[in-house]
Amino acid sequence: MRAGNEMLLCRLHLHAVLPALEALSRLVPQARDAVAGANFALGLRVADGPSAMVTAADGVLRVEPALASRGGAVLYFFRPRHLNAIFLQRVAMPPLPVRGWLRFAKLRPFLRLAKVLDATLQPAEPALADDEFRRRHLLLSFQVALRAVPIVAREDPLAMRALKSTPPGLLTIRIPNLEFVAWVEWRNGVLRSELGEPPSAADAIVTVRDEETARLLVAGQLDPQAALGLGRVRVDGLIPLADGLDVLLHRVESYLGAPARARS
Amino acid sequence: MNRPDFSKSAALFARALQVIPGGIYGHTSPALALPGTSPYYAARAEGCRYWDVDGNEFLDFMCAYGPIVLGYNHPEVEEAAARQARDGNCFNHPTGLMVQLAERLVSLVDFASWAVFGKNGADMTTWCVQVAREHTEAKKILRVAGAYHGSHAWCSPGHGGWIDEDRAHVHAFPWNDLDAFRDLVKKHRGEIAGVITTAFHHPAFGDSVMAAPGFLRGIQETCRAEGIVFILDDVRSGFRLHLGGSHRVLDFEPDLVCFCKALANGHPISAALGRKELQPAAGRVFLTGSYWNSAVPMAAALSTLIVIERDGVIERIGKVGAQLREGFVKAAAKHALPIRYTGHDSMPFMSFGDETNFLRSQVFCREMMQCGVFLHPHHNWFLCAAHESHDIAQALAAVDDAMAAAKAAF
Ligand SMILES: Cc1ncc(COP(=O)(O)O)c(C=O)c1O
Repeated sequence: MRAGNEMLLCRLHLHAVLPALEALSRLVPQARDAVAGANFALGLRVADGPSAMVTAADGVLRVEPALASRGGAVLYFFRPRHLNAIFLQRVAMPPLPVRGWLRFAKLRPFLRLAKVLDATLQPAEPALADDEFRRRHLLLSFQVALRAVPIVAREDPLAMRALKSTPPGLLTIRIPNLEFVAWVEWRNGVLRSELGEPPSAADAIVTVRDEETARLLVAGQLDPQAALGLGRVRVDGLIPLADGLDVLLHRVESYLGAPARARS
Repeated sequence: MNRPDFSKSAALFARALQVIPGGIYGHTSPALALPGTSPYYAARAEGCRYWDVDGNEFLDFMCAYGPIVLGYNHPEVEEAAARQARDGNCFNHPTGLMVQLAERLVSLVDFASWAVFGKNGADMTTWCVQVAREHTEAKKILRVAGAYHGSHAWCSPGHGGWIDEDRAHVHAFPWNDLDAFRDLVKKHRGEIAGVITTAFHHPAFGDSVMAAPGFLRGIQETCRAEGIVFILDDVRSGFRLHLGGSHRVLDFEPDLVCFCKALANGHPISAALGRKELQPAAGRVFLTGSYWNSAVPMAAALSTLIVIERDGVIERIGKVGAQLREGFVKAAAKHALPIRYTGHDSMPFMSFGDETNFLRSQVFCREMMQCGVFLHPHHNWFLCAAHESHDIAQALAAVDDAMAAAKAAF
């Protein structure tokens, strides 16, 4: 992977993958338990790169995209590749604690959460047989993708190129039986995404018919064009906007997907 | 009303997915139209109607995306093609038909003194770009943003499969913006080989826009003054606006012209014609393909050109196109729906009010489709010589309900 891509991957790890801990701590019983008694503030900082702050208190876990100016421990990573190696569970030097006293006992819940997150996002095939687990896997995967698209839109050359010929507009994606609704807006050269109902009427509405379709799409086992032809995904409205988003999702996949993980 | 059943289309599509990427790719991909409410596979066609694999009949306003100018399965053209097929199609050599067709086309296109042939539109647009570069020894190509010239790397609207270097010397300017064009010429003076435009702007997912007064003529004048080759991509509009090239009705004159779609009423052939000065360069740019000299499409082209001229096809298509336009405009007004009906009457496009997201158009076309009238919500439509007044009447009988549905949906 090229150096620039390591930086982008690092941003994806900190600002798209890590925030999934918030939902994880609400949805997954083990994660909820881990957060229940936890009280920590942990910053992650990459030299000349992005940072993030994870805090847990009163049973609530939060992930912020920047370090709090005071308080908590901060782990320092020497370069993006260093952080990526840790996220990908590769052999790597441990990060350097640079602020606060790192009391590992206090951080133990975080390490447990990180493990549960990884197992949820990159599940072993048999785990998916469990309905509840599969739903959580899908919801978190879509959330990660949703947070990842603005990052690739800003930094990935192929995503940026695709957006140049993508018309502006607001797109909603719905997966009714997962109760997932989110929106992506591409306007004035900026791409934003959020969970929840869109702020105004959408120009494109992408509806994923069922959970199985969502699973196949997340697993990369269903071609989006095929899904449309099969009626498993429906796009109403501005198709070129949905097309542009499809390229972005493909770019996210090229950084965070299983083949990329195996390669890096 | 019986809603069409598409189960055989769906079954074929499911099979296709096992062996064909995306099932159906390119411009006929279901993803680009109204998946689930339109047919995926055709079975046969006649005149201005076709039947899908489920046996649903459609009154067609897409004409195979342009090639069908006389009507499907035109007896005279098919007879000419069949006659040639009996003698053979693909040989070690071209047949005399190639000379005959080149002579015929050169006689029709006022500025041209030579012709060459290919199969698809993009064979010709890409080759003309090469000829412009060969002739001028310059590298840059100017084009209109959003115009379609084919699926090759320098111009494909797709996101995948090309690298930035493929387009390093291709620069775009907005349709009807002569100043932007001239600015590009100024910026790259001495480096520009050619400019390629369509006769009017007919992008997918957009309204058609005719040329503003002086726009194409302005491009022509700048090209002449600067030694830039002006290429007219008449692939889609050729033989629907004028038998001798669409420039004839739009008051300008290019240096090269590309034809394809309507040239042989559905038989695979494209052509490029050019000015005498470009003949030496044309001779130096290698041009061939396994089937590019095939005789059957040339026989079909010769026959198609005869019928277009003899039967006053272009005028007729314009007339029925005007009937369609008037009917649609009236129906929209009845439902107080503002529409934009754009393009040439022989290949129009309709969209709604200030809507740019096609939501209402999709409801409208879905309703028309349910009534057996095939219209595309995102691509310009086509009329052909087989459309008669009673066919237009059939479409207009359906349009009222479709407008009502489009109105009610939002
Ligand atoms: C204006 C124009 N140019 C070029 C092409 C490319 O033609 P083909 O698809 O035959 O390569 C098309 C096809 O739709 C077209 O409409």
